[in-house]
Order: sequence, then structure tokens, then C-alpha cells
Amino acid sequence: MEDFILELENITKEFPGVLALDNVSLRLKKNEVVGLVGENGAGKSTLMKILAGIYQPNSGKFILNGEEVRFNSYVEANKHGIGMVFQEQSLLPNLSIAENLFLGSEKKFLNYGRINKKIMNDEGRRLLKLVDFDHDPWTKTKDIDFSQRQMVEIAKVLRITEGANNSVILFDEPTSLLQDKEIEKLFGIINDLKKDHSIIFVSHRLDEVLEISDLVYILKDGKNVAVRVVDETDRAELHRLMVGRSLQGEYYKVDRQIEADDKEIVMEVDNLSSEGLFKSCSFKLHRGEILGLCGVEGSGNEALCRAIFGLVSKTGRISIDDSEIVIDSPDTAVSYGIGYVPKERLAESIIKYLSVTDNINLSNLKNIQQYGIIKSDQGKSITNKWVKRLRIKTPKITTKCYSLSGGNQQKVILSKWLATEGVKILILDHPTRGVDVGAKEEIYELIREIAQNGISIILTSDTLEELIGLSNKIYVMKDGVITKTFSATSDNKPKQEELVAYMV
Amino acid sequence: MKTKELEIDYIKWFPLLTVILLTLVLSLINPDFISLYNIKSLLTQTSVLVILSCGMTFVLLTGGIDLSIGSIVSCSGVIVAVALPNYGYWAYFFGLLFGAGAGFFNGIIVAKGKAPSFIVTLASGGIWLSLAYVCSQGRPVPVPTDLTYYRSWIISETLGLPNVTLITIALIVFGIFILQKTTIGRYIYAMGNGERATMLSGVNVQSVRIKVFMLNGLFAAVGGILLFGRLASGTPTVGNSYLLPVITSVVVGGTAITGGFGGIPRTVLGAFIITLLNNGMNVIGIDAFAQQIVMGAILIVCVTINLDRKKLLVLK
Amino acid sequence: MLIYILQRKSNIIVDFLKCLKKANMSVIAPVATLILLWVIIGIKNPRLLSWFGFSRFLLTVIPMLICSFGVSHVIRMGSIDLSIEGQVSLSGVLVSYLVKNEMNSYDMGFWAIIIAILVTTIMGVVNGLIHTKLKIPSFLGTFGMGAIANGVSILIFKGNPIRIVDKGFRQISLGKFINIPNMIIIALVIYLILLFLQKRTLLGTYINAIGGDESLAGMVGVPVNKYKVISFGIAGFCYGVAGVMLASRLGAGMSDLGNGLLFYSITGVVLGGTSILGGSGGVTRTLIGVLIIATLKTGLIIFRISPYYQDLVTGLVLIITVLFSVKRGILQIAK
Repeated sequence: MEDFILELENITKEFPGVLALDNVSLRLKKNEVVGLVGENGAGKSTLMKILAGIYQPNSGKFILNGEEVRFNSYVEANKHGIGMVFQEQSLLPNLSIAENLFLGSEKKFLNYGRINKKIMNDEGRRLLKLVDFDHDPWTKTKDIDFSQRQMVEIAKVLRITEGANNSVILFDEPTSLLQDKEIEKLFGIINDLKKDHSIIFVSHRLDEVLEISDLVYILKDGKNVAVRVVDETDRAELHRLMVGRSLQGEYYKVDRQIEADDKEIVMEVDNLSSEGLFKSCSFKLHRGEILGLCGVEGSGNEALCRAIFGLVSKTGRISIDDSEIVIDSPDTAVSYGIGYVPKERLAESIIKYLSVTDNINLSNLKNIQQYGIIKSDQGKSITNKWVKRLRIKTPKITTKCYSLSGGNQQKVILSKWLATEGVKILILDHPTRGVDVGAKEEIYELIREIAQNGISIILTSDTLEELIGLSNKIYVMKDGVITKTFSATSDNKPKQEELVAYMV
Repeated sequence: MKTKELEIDYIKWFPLLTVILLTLVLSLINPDFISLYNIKSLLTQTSVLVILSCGMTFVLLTGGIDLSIGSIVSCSGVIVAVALPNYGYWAYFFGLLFGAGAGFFNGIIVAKGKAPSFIVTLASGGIWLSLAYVCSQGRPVPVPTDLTYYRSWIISETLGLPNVTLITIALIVFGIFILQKTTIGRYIYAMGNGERATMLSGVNVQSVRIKVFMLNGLFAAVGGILLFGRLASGTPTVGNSYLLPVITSVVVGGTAITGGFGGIPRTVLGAFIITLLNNGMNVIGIDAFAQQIVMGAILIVCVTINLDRKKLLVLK
Repeated sequence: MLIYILQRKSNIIVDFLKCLKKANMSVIAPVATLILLWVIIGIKNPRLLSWFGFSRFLLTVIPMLICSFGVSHVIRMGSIDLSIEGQVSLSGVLVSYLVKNEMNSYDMGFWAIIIAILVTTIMGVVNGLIHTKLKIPSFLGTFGMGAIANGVSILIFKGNPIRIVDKGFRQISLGKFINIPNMIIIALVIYLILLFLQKRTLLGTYINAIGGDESLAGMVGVPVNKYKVISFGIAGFCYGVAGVMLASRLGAGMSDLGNGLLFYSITGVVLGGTSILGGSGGVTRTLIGVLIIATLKTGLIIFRISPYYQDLVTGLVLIITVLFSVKRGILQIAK
């Protein structure tokens, strides 16, 4: 009977409208490195946050060193020897390295309220040495570069887990922004850490996961798919396990897909670049075409969408109907006929304390007004028209949107753009996120209808299957560049593994 | 979400009920209270507060605040007083122009500069105050007796009601109209409830913000002009004492500090509540000065009740 | 006791010099501006550069300086305190009321000072509690409290200046110790204490952390609410001291003792390089900022520009500084 340091049994985590984790289990042995892989939205990040005490599971057991525990905060998890190296770094840039290393746990340096800076300095130096980073601990964190900060982040975790009997270090996508040499150094450190700690390592780069881990857990749609011993598997198998689902053509209404290559070009994007986000991206969008942009988080696909909508500064050319235009803000984009359905519905698209009709008419108000006065009858009839067509379930059009389900809210957002005169291009960012299965199907039908009516769509989605099913053409992005273009005609859809090969 | 519905219902009726209650209480204490004469004088008394509070409502609905209205009030009155001898009725136009301009200045710095509105308007308040002092040389600028005619429209009556009240009613209607019937009204409520989502719907949020501050500046200027008319002079300090009552009126009326909820009718009720409370305190014999304490306390209490905690992700 | 103070002072001086070595733009610009301004003033009116002239200049600045020290803690956290004027007036009126004066028979001397400062410190703590427990945004909560404080001070004051008779009390602002005016010594002591707290205790680190990223700080275990309350409390303490000083200098307690302080104190803090968004700055930067503002004011007087322009210049300077500090800082949705 092997001793497990940490066991997660049947962990379930729900967010409003989304089941992030569904009976997930994971076991970690002492001095073992466990890799965790899965597509975006598979639940890796949620699982890690539960391990770190930042989220609490709705149900399931969390057993640490044989005892059942429940952490209500990151600090509590720290006290039990669990620390995390955060994907977006948990360092405060305006504080010094030393202050960041010990933030929240300065007790041992205190002498009647006075900080003993000398001891703090020595301790800081010592921790930094453990990651082979020799730097003045009083440097301000914003003055060192990203990879150096990554070293500090790791040193911080070492401080957290020091002294704990069976400590666990969680690495959340630590290599996304590092160069090769730095990744090598990181792996060296992890191999050293293995001797005293147990590690869980999350990354979308399967090669790295295979190199560093002993065991790999594969998650998909919030569920366990499989566990593999690293020596007994390979990249290809991991791909398959991560995405493998047979395509259900009817679900994505592939039969309604219209080919658009012969139609006129509605928008042309030429050599678009934005520092740190994406580089030299070019594509042509035809009328009625659904263009899929896929990539893992950080690959630049979402940033590219935001750039086209005017949210991100960029260089390069965008032309609509053959004339070059400059899009520097969302209202400019809208005036050129571009609409945007953001990923974060609650934060960015639905205004929940506003009514259904107010939300639907928001982008179109200037077209139903005269001298600034709204023609409210027109507004009402537009709302009613779309509520009927999209079958939006709401008691009245004056009902506030917080009482609508996720799927209905998404329909309201789509109605908003469909109701706006002049919209030719719609950017859909994860359009079925947080939407139940029935509503998803309705939205797919709607997307087909929109395309059939001549509106072009740029689509990004976590769910590869959805992207493949809906799109006419797919552009795969990795680390900011378009790595491959796939044609996805209704009779010749690419397989998910083919896409993933160019994503990771 | 049920709680939110309940809260909203409760807040909906609170101002109206309070006004009725206060009126009843005050008329019990002093039967003369309900007399026509008293009501007329009450209306005149409240009018400037109502106008200023309506203007501030626009700003608060978008989630901002304008700490410079006191100075705008004073400065516009001074400008009118100074310009009257040479420009006659045009002086009033200059006053209004100033209000709009001050609002524009506030708006553009907050919108384009992305600076917090309380700091910008704190600073600009100093600027307008300075302007008022410079124009008036530090002393109230009186209206020469032979020019009294020019301010008669402010202090006279039409159809039995003081002109001031008519102007106030006109502005109230105007304010309600803007918020309910125009595109910019919709944009204001949208911004207050979800600025990012509004921006992502293609609304030029910056331009709306500037217009909101300009509206507020205009309303403040009207208030300043009416005060000028009543006092027969432009005084650089006349607006100073209005900031607290104005903000308290808006808050008591139920408009949320976080923005997005509330409106002109509520604010008007709020202004009446404040005036009635002041009257009541006078009648009971509470120091005029202690009234400030009461108002500060009311402000804190009402903000607490009206606050929508969920909207404040990180409180500063 | 003296040795302890000396030891503390020397530690801090060492830190100070280390800071100078690491100077960057946000530190150099204010200092350079200050030096430039003094050069201009010195040319126009050399008398000001003498010890006599300079110390007289300093004396006018000190109450505002102390208020700025106080409010800088709040601003560094990303909040604001609009109750400065009310609290200063309250402290001044309260202390006048309690020392030997012409109005009543109180003669509490030293204890009056303690009480006044204690009252404003408690008010500061209440400000913090209103913000953390009732979750009211700081600009509104402190606005309300400031009105309350102002109201209370007016109540006590009742329209007649409370003339102070206690000679010892007046010595606070008028007297000297080894030829250095008492007020300068008090200001220096407060500066050193706050500097000590900032650099040698958790206060400085935690306030910067809260201002930098409050949720992150909370996640790693910084007791955010506790330190927010402490900051507001320190600010209240400083306002109390300033009020006592002003009352002492004027020789009377009046309810408009605090007038004008809000604007200039905040400007001083922001000018010194403390970002209005929080997360940077400190008492030293505030010192420089306040000196700049005071120098500007003096400069206007020397160059015979009407005092009415003071607010205008200050307001413009504040706006420009804020715009620059926002540019450098993280962009937020402006409210």
C-alpha cells in the first residue's frame, strides 16, 4: 500500500452556470512529480486553485497526509505546506523582492514591531540562492525582468513550504513566457526540488510535461479521463486523450454550413502585430464565412480578436470592403460594422441590472433616434422581434437580465448585434461558455443562420470540437503566430489531434 | 437575487414616505407649516438645492462625483454680476457658458486622462474658486440699483408661482426627459451598471462622460445665477456650503453611489427631505451648526443602505 | 532615551542615503523642481534664503506638512481622506476650549492636547471602520465624517473665537529650543517617527502592498482591514497635532482653522510623487511635495501675483501631476 501525500477524491466544483469539475480525483505520492494536462476549460486551473485553498470544492474529499482537510484560504494551505507558483505571478511589483518573499509572514523578523532588516536580508539571499538567483533582495520587483521574477516566485514558494513535513508545490503554467534556456534552468530546479517536495505541474506544452513528470493526469470537460505513467505513453496518446471525442456533425449543424471561398472578401487583415501578444497575422474573411481561430491561452487568438475590435493597439493593416481603415476603439469598430461578443459575459457583455430591451438596443440606439430622442416604439418592436426569433425566455422585455439563465443572456447579447444596423462581421469569443446543452444547440443554429444571411463570423472557442464543427476555415495560433491553416469544409473536417499538434 | 428586488422596492418608497412623514410631523409641531405662504417660501428655499442636486445626479449615475459644484455656483454668479453692467442680459449667457465650460474641463480630464473624478474635481474646484476671487477681487459684487431691472425675472412671480420654482420645475422635467427618453440617458444608466460592457457595445463612453459633467456644470451655473438674482450680488463664497447638502440629497433620495440606479424624481424628493429636516431642526431648536453633524451622519447611513456591495469588487 | 533616538536617527539616515542612491525619475523630478524653484525665489528675494527667512517660511508650512504626512498613508493605500479640514478644526477648537481661555474655566493644559489628539485619532479610526466594515467608499465616508467633525467644532465654537490665555500652550508654536522653533522640532520628530514606522515596521510594506494590489495582498495573508484602519488612525492623529499647532499659533480656537488644508495637503502628497492610485510614495516624498507647494505659494507672493491665483495654480498643478501619475500607473476605469 503506497503512501499518498495528497489525495483528492471526487471533487466537484460548480460556478454559476458552469460545472468546472465533475468528480475529479487525483493522487500524489511523496517526492513525485505529477503532470496535469487538458484543453482550456478542462478544469486544470480550477483544480489547482482548490489544491491551493483559493477555491473550496462543493463536494469531495481533500486528504493531506492521511487527514481530511478543508482550506478556506491560500494562507491556510500554506500553513499545511502547500504553495503555488502562479501563472500570473503573485508578486507585487511595487514592493522589493524581500518584501514579496515574506509578505504576510514577517513574524519571525519582528522584534517588538521592528523589522530586523539584516536578518530579512540574509534570509532573502538564502532563499534566492536556492533558485540560483543572486540579487540584492531590496531591489524593487518591477525592476527585474519576467524570468527573474519567476525565480523569485519560486523562491517564495520555497519559503512557504520550508519546514513542512510533506510539502507540495504547485506549478501553474510556469513556462508560458520563458525562453528555452530559462526553461532548462527551471527544470533543473524542479528536479532538485523533487528530493524534498512533491510537485504538481500544469502545462499545455506536452513535451515539457512528459520530460519532467513521473505521472500524467489528463482532464477533459472537468472530468478525469486517464492517468498515464510517463514512460508508458507519448505525446500522441496524450493528444488523443485530451481531445478525443467523435465529431457529431448534426450537433454543429454541419449540414447548414455554406462554403464561402467564392464569396467576396469582407475583411482583410494584413501583417497585424501587437507587442507581446501576436505577430504578423494575416487572413482574409469572406462574406458569410465562419473563420475559427484556435490556440491555447496566451497563443494570441483572443488578443487578435480584441485587436480587431479596437481594444488593443497594433500595427498592420485592416481593410473592410477593400478600403483600409483604422480601428482604434470599440466605437470605431462598431461604426465599421464589427460586433464583438466577449468571453466574460458578466464582466464584459451583459449588463445585468439593465432590462432585456435596454441590453438588446444598446448598440443600435443611434439608429432608432431622432435629435437624440429614442423612438421607443421602434425599440420595443425590435426587442420583441428578436426575443421571438431567438426564443429568449423572459417574462417581460423589461425584466432585468440578472434573472435570465446563462443561455438566454447569451441570446440577448447576440440579439444586440443582430439588431444593430450595419453589422457585417461578428467576433464570437467563446460563444457557448457557461451555456447549457440545449441552449448551445440553439446558438449553433443561430450562428448558421447568421452566416447564411451574409454576416461573417470570427470564432474562438476553448472547445476544439465546437470550433471545428462550426468553422469553414481554421487558423491555428501558437505563441503569437499563425502556425497552420486548415480548411474545414463540411465534408472534410480536420481531426482535433491535427489541430492540437500545431497548438502545443 | 430576490433580496435585490426587495431592497429596490424598499428603497423605492423610502424617499416619498419620508417626505410625507416629515411634512406630517412638522405640521403637527407647527400648524402654520401647511400654509400657502410657508409652502411657497419652502419651494423657493429648496429650488437651488434641487437644481444642484439634479445636476449632480447625472454625475453620480455614471459612478463619478463632482466636488467642484460649489465653486461653479459661486463663479457663475460672480461672472454674471461682473458682466451685467456692460453686457446686460448677455451676462446670463456668459454665466451658463462658464458652467458648461467648467463641466467640459472636468469631463475631459476625467475621461481622457482616466483620472479619478474626486481628485480632478477637487482640484478644479480650487481653480474655479480662484477665478471667482479674481473676478470679484474677493468681495461680493453688487448689482447697481439702476440695473435691478435685469434680475427682476428671477425674483418675480408668474401665474402665482415664483419664477424660480417654475425654472426649477422646467429643469426637473428636462432632467427626467434626458434620462428617460434620450439615447444619452440610456447610455448613462448603462455606464453606471456596466461601464466596460457599455464600452464594448460600441458606445463612446468618454464622450458621454464629458457631456454628463457639462450638464452638471450647466445646472450648477443655473443655480449660481438664481442665487445671484436672490442676493442681488455675485459672491465668491456663496456656493461653498452647498456641496454637503447636495450630495446628501442625492444619496438620501436613493441614487446609488456605485451608479446605475436612481434618477431625478428621487433626487428631488431627497432634496425636499433635506430641506424639511433642516426646517424641522430649526423648529426644534437645534443649532444651525449641529445640522451639519446630522447631515454628515445621514449621508453615511444612507450610503450604507443604498450601496450595492456586489458591484464593488475592490473598495478604495 | 536620547541615545535611543540618536540610534534610530542614524539607522534611518543610512536608509535615507541608500534611497538616494537608488533615485529614479519619480524621486528626481520633485527634488529638482524644488531646487529650481528656490533658485528662482532666491534670486528675486535673497532674504528668504537666510536661516531666519527660511525658518519663517517653514513655520507657515508645518501644519499643512503634518496633515500631508497623515493623509499620505491613506493615499498610498489607494483611498482618500476628505475629512482633513473638519478634524483639524475640531482638534483646534477642542484644545482651545480645554486649556486656560477667556471663555470658560477649564485649565487642563497638557491634558487638553492629549484629549484633542486622541479625539481626532479616534475619528480617524472610525473613518477606517466605516470604510472596512460598512464598505463605504472612502471619498464618501470621510466626506461625511469631515462634515460631522466640522459640525461639532462649530457647535463648540459658537461663533466666538476662544481666546487662549495659557502661555505655555502658546509656546508650542511661538517658542524655540536651542534657537530652533518648537514647531520645526515637533515636525521633525513626527517625520522621523513616521519614517521609522514606514521603513522599519510592517506598516510601510503593508500599506504599499494594499495600494499595489489589494486582493493579492489579502490572499497572501496581509491583514488588509486592520492596516486600513491603522492608516486612517495615523492620519487622524496627524490632523489632531496640526489642529493643536494652529490653535497655538493663532492664539484662538475657531472653526475654520482647517480651511484650505484639504486641497493643499493632498496636492502636496501627490506632487511629491505618491501616486493617487496607491502603492508608492512615503513621508519623505510627501515632505518634498509639500515644500514644493509651499514654495510655489511663497513664490506667487514674492512675484506679487494676486493671492487669488493660489488656488488656481495649485489646482492646475494637482491635475497635471495626477495625469502624469495615472499615465505611469495602472489604468483603471475612472470614476
